[in-house]
Amino acid sequence: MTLVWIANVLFLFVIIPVVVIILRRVLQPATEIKAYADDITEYGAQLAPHLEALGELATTRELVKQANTDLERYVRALDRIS
Amino acid sequence: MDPAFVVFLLGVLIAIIAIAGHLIAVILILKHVVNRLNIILGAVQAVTTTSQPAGAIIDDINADLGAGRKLMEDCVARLEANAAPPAGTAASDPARHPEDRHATNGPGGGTATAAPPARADTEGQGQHPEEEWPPQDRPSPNPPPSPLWNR
Repeated sequence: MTLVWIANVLFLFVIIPVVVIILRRVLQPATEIKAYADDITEYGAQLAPHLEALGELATTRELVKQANTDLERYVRALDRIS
Repeated sequence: MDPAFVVFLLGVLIAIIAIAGHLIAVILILKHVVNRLNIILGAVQAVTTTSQPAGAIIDDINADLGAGRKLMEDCVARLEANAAPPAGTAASDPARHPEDRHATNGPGGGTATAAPPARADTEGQGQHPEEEWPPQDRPSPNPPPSPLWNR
């Protein structure tokens, strides 16, 4: 009977705390991963609004083409008067 | 029942509850992380779709700007070549001296009536506008010139 009590004491004061420590070591990185995922979501979701100006690149291209055409006309006129 | 067995069963129960609680917490956290990663994946796909044509458009813009810059450089080179005085006439026509470009005989004087540049002036540089412009890969806009430019 004494051995059973010794086993109970070991179980309650050694084995269970060790198991809890191990489980907390698993839980701690999972909690950190959750926090990082929240941060990434918060800042990653802001990427799309910042890239809305990319839609204006097509307009920029057309404007540059028009400016190039006008520049060509200007150079031709300059060649004629010089 | 022996009290030692009761304590043993109680200890086992406590251990099972602790293990189950921690595992449930880990499961919930991982589920949350998976949901967040799905949201992030959607945002990344949207960013990829949005920025996909940017490279080709920027290449077009760079090509147009480069062509315009070359056009202006060639024009400036031709104007400088035209502004250079012919040999022996610098003293009789000081307004055409390259260092005195602002001296004119009146509004527009010295430029509108000047003779067109000789072919030999630009052939040596290989920068004649008819040879360089428009580029081969773009249609020639060649709009009708303004009446002001036909003076």
